[in-house]
This record gives sequence, structure tokens and C-alpha cells, in this order.
Amino acid sequence: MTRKRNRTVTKALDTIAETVERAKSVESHQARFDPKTKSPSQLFYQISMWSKELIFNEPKATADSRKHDAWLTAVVQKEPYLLGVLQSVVSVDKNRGWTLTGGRNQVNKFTRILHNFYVAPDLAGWRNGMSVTSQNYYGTNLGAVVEIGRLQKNGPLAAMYSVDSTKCYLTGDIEMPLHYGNAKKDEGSWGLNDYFRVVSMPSTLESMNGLGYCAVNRCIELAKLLVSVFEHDRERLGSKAPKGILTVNGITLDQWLSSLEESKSELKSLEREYYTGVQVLAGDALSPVSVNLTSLSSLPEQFDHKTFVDLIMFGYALEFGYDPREFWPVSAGTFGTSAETENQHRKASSKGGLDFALGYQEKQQEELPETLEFEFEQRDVDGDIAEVALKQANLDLIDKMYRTSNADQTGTITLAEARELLVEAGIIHEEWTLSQEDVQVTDTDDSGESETLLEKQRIRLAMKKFPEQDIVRYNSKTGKVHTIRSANYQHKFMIRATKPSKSKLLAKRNGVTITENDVKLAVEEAKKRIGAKNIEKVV
Amino acid sequence: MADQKTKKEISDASIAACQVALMALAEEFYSGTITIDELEGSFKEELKREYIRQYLYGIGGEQNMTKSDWEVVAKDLQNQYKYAEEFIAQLDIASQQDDEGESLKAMFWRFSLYALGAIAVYELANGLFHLADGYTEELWVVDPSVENCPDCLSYESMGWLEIGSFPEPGDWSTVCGSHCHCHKEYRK
Repeated sequence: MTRKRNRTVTKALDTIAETVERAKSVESHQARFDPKTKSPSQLFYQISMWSKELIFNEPKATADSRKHDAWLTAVVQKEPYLLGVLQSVVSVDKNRGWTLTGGRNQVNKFTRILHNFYVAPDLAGWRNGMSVTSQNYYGTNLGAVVEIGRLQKNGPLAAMYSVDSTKCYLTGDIEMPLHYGNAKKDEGSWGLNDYFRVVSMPSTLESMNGLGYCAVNRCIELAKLLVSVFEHDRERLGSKAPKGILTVNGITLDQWLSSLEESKSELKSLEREYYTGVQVLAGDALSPVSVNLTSLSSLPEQFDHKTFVDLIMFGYALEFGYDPREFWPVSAGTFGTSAETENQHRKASSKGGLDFALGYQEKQQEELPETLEFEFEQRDVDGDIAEVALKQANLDLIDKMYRTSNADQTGTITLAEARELLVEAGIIHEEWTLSQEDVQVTDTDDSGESETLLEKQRIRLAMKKFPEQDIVRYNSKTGKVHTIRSANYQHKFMIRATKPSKSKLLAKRNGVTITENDVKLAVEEAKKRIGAKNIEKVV
Repeated sequence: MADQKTKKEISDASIAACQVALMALAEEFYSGTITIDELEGSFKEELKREYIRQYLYGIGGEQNMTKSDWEVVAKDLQNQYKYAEEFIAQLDIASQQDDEGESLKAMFWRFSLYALGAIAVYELANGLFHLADGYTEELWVVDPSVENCPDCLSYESMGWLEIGSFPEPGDWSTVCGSHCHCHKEYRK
């Protein structure tokens, strides 16, 4: 009976709750989605005033960079042009492709780790990780800090976590150079094994412990100038009085101030800042009223806003190490010819932002095993196309020379000579001259590039350490793994050694075989491990 | 041919080197350099070579090996392979535990134990070598620098006996198992 009544009550409560929920309609729990919170004019007024005060309120730069870095992070969000530039460079960095080359097992393992760059509890991935890291590099003087997760002390890299640079400071301690958070010194101190840091323009001052001078900080003076111009425009556009000397004739000071006060109160009550009502000054007929303003801080005559903003953007681009066209539409003519523009574009596509990329690459490489090669993409597409075109021209010329007959009905050059020229032109590999194969010019991964890769120290080490594994290269952009050299690779133009005869079987049991070759290898290994002389005494 | 002391020293040095090699394999697996399958292959290969070496040290070289000797080595290896496969399977499970590698680390010490198993192989071959060379008696000798188990002390107290009277040190006939530091000496 009681149970039945309880069920009825519960059902009734559910129905009421559902009715109330429907009446309220769907709403977010977040205040920012509440349309009643702020009117647009209030919002603009607050942001405008806050950004102005913020940018001119710079904290002192000290070795403990937390306060200054927090200020930089806040300022950049209030200057839309600077924020746009930052967004662009971060976008370049996070979308920059990379490759990981080495033994197949290691490449597979560490690719997974790199693609699991932790940013927040619900946010992980290479692009997210690079986005935060790049923002820290360009936007804080401490630079980008990446925490390294290891399964054991001094063990290999097992995870990567982004770090809020505004919560860290440099200690100057050689053992524990970084302190994170507000924890006590011992608890929050990080050693070199715990993180790596990439910084722009590290300070030459010993007292700064290697603190940098980031691009956003380098742009701050320009940003201040821009904000000042905006402020001037606001004063001109609106009713705000600019700094200057006001001469008023025909009325008393009290009358003027009273009139101003009335105007201000009206402005406030109407929540209008730019288009106020008319301020009324009434005098008697004997003394005509006149108001003259001599401005002390005004923009120069013929001041061109567009040129000014262009120059500011050029300044920003210079500080970030990019071509201005990366961020800002600059028409050719005033700032460069079309050819110059093309060159700058080419330069930007191959070079832009390498300051961060190369710094990060170096640090990332240090955290990976010595048998892996990590590289950011630096390909200049235009350059590659030009190179292929040059090779094609060389190929045509050499081909023509080979096919042209002379008086003796023999070619101008022989096949061997033609192949030698092809080698000199970098079209075919040197060893290929030993064989007779057709040659094709290509701009994709060719054996030439693979050979260059194989010459790298880390990859040679991988080949030596993992002879039974394929040497592969993972490309983050395509997500594909490309085999550079198979484990059972035999150089195609080398004469194969005579296949060794089958080793004599000495014993065989279920799962165990012992051959003469096993014995030979066992003894050779013993000689290496404890000395040939010792081994010769006993076997 | 080297004397018994030299042979024993070389045998011990070889086992120590094998332990280092096995631990290096453990590290490589732990760091992700090699997979579990590669670990198993390399692990078995290392054991095979050490067992061959120990038998050769004991018997006095390849020239003294007979068909039955190779069969003995293969049989011992077969047993070790079985244990190794079980161990590797446990490692595989431990490596998948979400405990920051703690389970895996706890198992590392077991790698080196597999090398110690080869001590018994050396002692067996050494006994056969001496038997073939006309020796008739053997003596159980303990290592005074370590704490010896009651079984080993008991064997020591028996003095010189006919060859084949004692088990092989390290063959798990004594309480100390493969940690046995004893050896046998022979006389005619």
C-alpha cells in the first residue's frame, strides 16, 4: 500500500518537473549564453575601457615572469590585429607536417605518443598540443614548456603534456631550473628530465635565468600606438573631449561646467557614448558665445589610417619573423613589385616560423631515442617544382646528346658517358651507373631522398641496431608509413654473395634446433664478451 | 686444457655476461624498442647460445661433443624454452597493465635467473669430461663467501664419493635452486 502511494507521488513529481522544464525551454547552464546578461553597448563599453587600461598598465618585467606573462596573455586578446597575427602563426605551426623515421617498431610506438599530446582532460592530439605550445612560445617570455611523462626515472618518453607558462617561473637552479604552480619549492620544482622549454630571444642577462623576449612583447609598443590611435578616433568620432586647451568666451566657467554636467548625465542615463544629444550653451545678445579647442595631442595632418595600420602590421610581421602578406593584404606597388611579392611568398612558405619549429624540433629530438629522426616539414613547393623542371631540362639535353649521330654513325656520347652526366646532374644515383635502367624525373619521394635520409646518423644507428626491422618514415600529414629500406634489403646493383650452405643440424627436439652455425655464433660471442684468449683455453 | 679453477671462472664470467644481455633485452622491451615477439625470439636465442657455451666449457670444446651431448643440450633448452614462454606471456599481460609499468618492472629480476640455469649444464658436462678422462671421485665444494643452504652443506660434509653420487649444482636438487654457488672437484 505504502509502496504504491510512493510510486504515485514520484510520478506526480516527475510530471511537475517535466512541465516546469518545458515552460522554461532549453537553456544553457552557462551565464555567457544568457541573452539578458548584458546589452551590446554595455559589452563594448566594458571591453573597450578594459583593454585600454590593460595595455598601458604593464607590470615590471622580472625573472619571475608569471605576472608579466599573464599580462601579455591578456593584452594580446584585446588587440584584434595582434591576435590575428598570433592566430595565423599558431595555425602555421599546428598544421606543419612532420616526419618520424627509424625502425618500424619504434616509429609506431612514438608516433602514438606524439599524437597523444595532452592539453586538457578532454583534449589531446598533436595539433592541439602544438597550438598551445606555439601560443606560449610567441605569447610569453618564459616560452613554451612541454612536460615529459616517463614510466620510470630517466626512462624513455612515454607522454607529453602542455604546460601553462603563466604558472611557471625560472629558478636559476641548475638541478631544478623550473618551478611550477604555487606549491612549495621542493614540490613544484622540475628538473631537466621533467620538461623541455623552447624560448624566443633568451635574455643575455644572467639575472634573468634564460627568460626570453617573446614576439608579442616585442609588439607591445606598436600595439600601444595602435590603441592610442583608436582612442583618438574614438574621441573624434564621439563626444569625448581630447586633451587640449579650451577657450570659452561669452559665458562664465560655472555656466560651462553646468552645461557639461547636464550633457554627461544625459549621456549616462541613455547609455550613449558616441552620439549624444546637443549640448546647449545660451548667452545674452551682448556677448556672443564662442568655444575654441586647441588640441595638444592630435594626429598629424594628412594622417593616413590605412598606411598607418599597414606599417603596424609590417612591424608585427617583422617581430614574428614572417612576411606581412602572411597576415595582411598588401597591394603591390607601394611596398614591393609583383616579383618581390612572389619572392617573399616563396620565402615565407619555406621559411616562415622556422624559429619556433627548429627550436621545438631540436628539443623533441632530444627526448626521442637516438635511433629516431624527427623532422618538421620545410619543403618549399615552388622550389621543388623548379628543381624538377631543371632536372627535366638536363635530362632532355643529355638524351639529345646521346641520340645525336655524328659522321661515324656513332653517338656524340656513349651510354656510359650519358649515365655519368645524369649522375652529375643529380638525376640518377651514382650506383645506378652500374646497371641499365630507365630513368624518370619525379618530385615525389624518390630513392635519392631515401638515400639522403639513410645517410643521417640516427637512421644509420637504427639500421645497425635493428637490422631485422624495416626502416620506415611516418608522415603526419598523410598518416602513412613509407618503407625506406626493407629489413632484407640487398642493394639492387651489388653482386649477391653466394648463398651460404645450410648449416649442419646437430640436434633437434620439439621447438629447439641446434646447428653448427649456432655453435659458431655462440663461441664468437663468448670471445667478444670475455676475451678470445680466455675462450681458447677452454674450448 | 685449462685447470678446473680457470674453467669455473670462465663459466661464471660467461653467465654474468649472459645476465647483462638478458637485462638489456628487458630494457629494450620496456622502452618499446622491441616487441614482445622480438623479445621472445632474442631471449631464446641468448639462452641457446649460453647453454651451448656452458656445455662446451664443461666438456672441453666442440671436438669432445657427441651426438648424445647435443641431445642433452637440446633437451635442457626445451625445458627452459617452456618456462621462458610462460614468463614472456606473463610479461605481455604485465605490459598491458595501466599501472605506469610497475607490474612490468616487478618482473625484471626474473630475466637474470634464466642465465643461472646454465650453471647445471656446465657442471654436468664437466663431470662427463672428467669421467671420460679417467677420474673416479668427486667432491662437493661450497662457496665460503656466501650463505649456503642445508642441502649443500650436507653434500659438502660427505667428502669424496664416486663420480655420479652428487647431483649437479644449480639443477634444483638443492634448496638454493639455481642460486647455488657450489661446484664439484674431481680426482682419480
